[in-house]
Amino acid sequence: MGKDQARTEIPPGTLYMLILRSLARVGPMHGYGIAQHIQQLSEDVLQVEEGSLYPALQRMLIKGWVTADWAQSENNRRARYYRLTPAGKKQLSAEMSEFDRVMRAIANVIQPA
Amino acid sequence: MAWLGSKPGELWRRIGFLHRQRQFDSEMEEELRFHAAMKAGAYRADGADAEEAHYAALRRLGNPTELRERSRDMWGWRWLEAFAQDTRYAFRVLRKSPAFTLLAVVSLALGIGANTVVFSVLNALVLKALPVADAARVYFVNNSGGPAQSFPNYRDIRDRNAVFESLFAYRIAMMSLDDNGGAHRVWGYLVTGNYFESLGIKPALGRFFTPAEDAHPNASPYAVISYACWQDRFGGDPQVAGKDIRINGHPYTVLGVAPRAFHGTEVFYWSEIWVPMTMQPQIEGHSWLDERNTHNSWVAGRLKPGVTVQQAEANLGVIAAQLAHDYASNEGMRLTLSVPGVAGSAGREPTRAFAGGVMLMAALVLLAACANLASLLAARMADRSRDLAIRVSIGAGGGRIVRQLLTESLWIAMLGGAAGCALAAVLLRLLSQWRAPLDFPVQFDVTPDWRVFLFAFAAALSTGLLFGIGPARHAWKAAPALHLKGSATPRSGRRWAARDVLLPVQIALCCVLVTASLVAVRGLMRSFQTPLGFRPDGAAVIGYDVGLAGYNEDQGRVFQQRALEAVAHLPGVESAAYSSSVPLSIDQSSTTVYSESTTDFRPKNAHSAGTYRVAPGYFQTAGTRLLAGREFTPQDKPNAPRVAIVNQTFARSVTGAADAVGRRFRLGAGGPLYQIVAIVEDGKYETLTEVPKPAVFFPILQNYSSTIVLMVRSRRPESELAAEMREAIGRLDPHLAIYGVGSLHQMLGLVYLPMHAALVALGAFGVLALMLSITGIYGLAAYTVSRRVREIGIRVAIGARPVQVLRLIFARAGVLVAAGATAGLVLGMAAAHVLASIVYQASPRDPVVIGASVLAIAGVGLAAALGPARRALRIDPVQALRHE
Repeated sequence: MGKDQARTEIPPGTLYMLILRSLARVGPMHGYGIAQHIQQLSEDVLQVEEGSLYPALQRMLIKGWVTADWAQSENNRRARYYRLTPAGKKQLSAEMSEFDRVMRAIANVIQPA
Repeated sequence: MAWLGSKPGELWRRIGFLHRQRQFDSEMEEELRFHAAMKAGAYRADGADAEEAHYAALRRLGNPTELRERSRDMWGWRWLEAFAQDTRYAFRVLRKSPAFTLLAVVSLALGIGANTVVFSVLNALVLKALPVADAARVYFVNNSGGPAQSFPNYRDIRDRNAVFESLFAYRIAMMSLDDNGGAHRVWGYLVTGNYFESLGIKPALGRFFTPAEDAHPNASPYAVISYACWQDRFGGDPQVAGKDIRINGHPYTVLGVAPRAFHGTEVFYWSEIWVPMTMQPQIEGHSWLDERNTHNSWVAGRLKPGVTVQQAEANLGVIAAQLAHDYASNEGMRLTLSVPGVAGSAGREPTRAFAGGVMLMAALVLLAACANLASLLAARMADRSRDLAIRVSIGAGGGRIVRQLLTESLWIAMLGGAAGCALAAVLLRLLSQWRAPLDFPVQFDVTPDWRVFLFAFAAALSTGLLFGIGPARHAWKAAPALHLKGSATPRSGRRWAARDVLLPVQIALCCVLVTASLVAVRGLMRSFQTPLGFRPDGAAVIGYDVGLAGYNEDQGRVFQQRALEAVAHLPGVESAAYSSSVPLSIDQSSTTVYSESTTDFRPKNAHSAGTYRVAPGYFQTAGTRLLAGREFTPQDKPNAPRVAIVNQTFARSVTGAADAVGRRFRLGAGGPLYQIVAIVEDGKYETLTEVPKPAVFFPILQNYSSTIVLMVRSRRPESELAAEMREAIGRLDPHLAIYGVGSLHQMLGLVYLPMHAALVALGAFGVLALMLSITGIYGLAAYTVSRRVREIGIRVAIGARPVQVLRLIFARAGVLVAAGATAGLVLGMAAAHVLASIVYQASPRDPVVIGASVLAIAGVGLAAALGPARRALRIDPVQALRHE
């Protein structure tokens, strides 16, 4: 339980990219799985708020980046699995290159002269 | 509505969401439960006990309802839910006060219905394009003095212009159609061969004639019939194309049937048959196709793509100048374009002015209805302040309250609009089926189209906003105060201000409408008394054209004498005569005359005079006074000296002397001289509103006419005589197509049609306005009484007399109504000047009109206040004090 204290806000605008990337890497996942995945890969630095995650997933459904289907989960409960669509893949690469561009720019600004 | 700019696929997903909202909720719930369970599992793995893990997971998830709501909001339907909620509430409120709802919906339905009908007529007459291909490029070519061009001029314009893809000529013509089942007089068109291909319409059956089939005089015996003619006269015969028929006794072949919606190139006039223009000599008996002076055809055409009206008019201007230079009769020629449909600009402008004027009146009715509803709503708002206060105190913001109130008024407006539309649809259906009781195919296709429904919707929406915005604004301002007081019935003086303005405004509007309609009624009544120059009462007429039955001139003369004798001997006939036409009927012609001394026959020296060919005894029969000289006699025969009878205006303007008997004038440029043998009183010849015009009457024995109006004067009812005349003529020749049987009044119907239309429209608006005044005054009075029951009770208890009670309640309303009525009367008289252009002799300074308006409004005020007044007087102090 104690891990929660080290929680860091996910930088604004990157949540969609993180979700899309997780789905691209692992394949179809449920909401909890996505949150866990992001948390583990970021070594507990990034904590996905449920309050942001589920509205974000709905928005991605509207945009057509993901689709959702109910399926049996690993512990035999019904869960909603989100799957990346071709439109989602396109969106992911667009967001990643944009993110790269911004990161490089920031790095240029802050690196010692 | 953040999603308005979304892509199509996205939009569909959003719309699909609406179908599975309930499923969404349960799925979301399950998803969150699953999430919590997984989280709890993780906590347990970290060593927490089951219960602790469970609650920690729930805590971590936060408020699940809120999370679900936020996820749901992503789909962007929040506004719709709020709207549905407001709507449910609005209907609950409206159901709770059925009297108010009914009053509001009915008055709006009347207002919107009236506007929709008027707009639909405006749409049909002025806005709607002719049912032809790419109608925006079809234009009518107006001549300087009116719509008509001479046929040689048409040919020159057609051949010289560089702007029209094709230019065609057409003329309204009367024909006798024999479909092997007897002859019928029908109205049709003579049209040039390029008419149908210029319009780009497709035949419903068979084919149309082509320019090649209109090349040589009297060599193209072809006809195209209208859809209605095909159905009514040929029973919808699928083999009708190629069928042989007889027109005016000559054999013709039906080539095809026009499409159902196409009635010709004039909106009012529904043609039954189209015949090539080169058949004109055969159809009309005498040819004017080569007469440059005879302006008998209407010309319209299709502009080349990309040519603007300005370019076309510039080109036509050059041609007009050439034609004016080449031919003296074209002096001063000017060619202009206008949208086709109502006799070029000559008919279009008055039609538009008329329809626009009526539309304005209709808008005033709607405005009055809005003012009415606004004051009713404002009164109701006071009663609802407690309800609103509660809503505010449990957290509704000003915006929410305003949205709620606006939703309510919008729904009233929509209900009223729907009812109004239904009402309008019924009325328009009747109007479309109505055929003017005329010997002329005047019909209106006022079937509503998308424009009309859009208009009705817009009218309903804007009225809803208009009468709802005031009370809503008031609520917005009052909301914080209500919140503070929790529950209150605030009674500030300001609250009354809006209503104090609304009632007089409404009364003023109604007063304008009542005054306007009374002016119209009076004008119409007076126009029936206008001296016509003849007396239609007691005159029965019958029309026929022996030329259409194939008679030559000699046979025609014999027939006319026999027909005259036959009707002259009918019982009760005092006098009988015949003529080529009668004034104010549809068939009018004019001629050019010069004074005897004129040798320069250019148009500036010419006089145009209405011309009639009449038999001996015509003036006595028509009831036209002979001021000097003698009637024609049987001695005014073909070989006798040329004589004429003229009216006073002719005498003054052509001969320059009032006593012109014995003087002479010349008929046509370089034409023969005629001696004037009598002067008759001036009359009306084409319209009731015209200024005195010259008219000349020739002896019909000297100037043969195959078209005849036979008239008898008698004290017996006209209808009886007309029937006997028809029988008598039928005995002489059963194959003669007879028309216009009835009283002379009926034959004049067309000149009275615009006034009848104005009377019906304005009369209806006047009645609507009075009804709205009644509801408005009643609403206010009833409300005042109900608000002050307690106060009245106290006053009665301490000894107030009934007069004092009434003064208490009605003093203020009386002042408001009086103020509104005065303003309305002044405005109404100003507006009546506009009416004068529609209604002949509409004078706003008519004491009868002013008196009647004042009486009407006073009467309405009294009637409306009667109920509430009685209620006020019956208030029992004891009960009143227990009130509330």
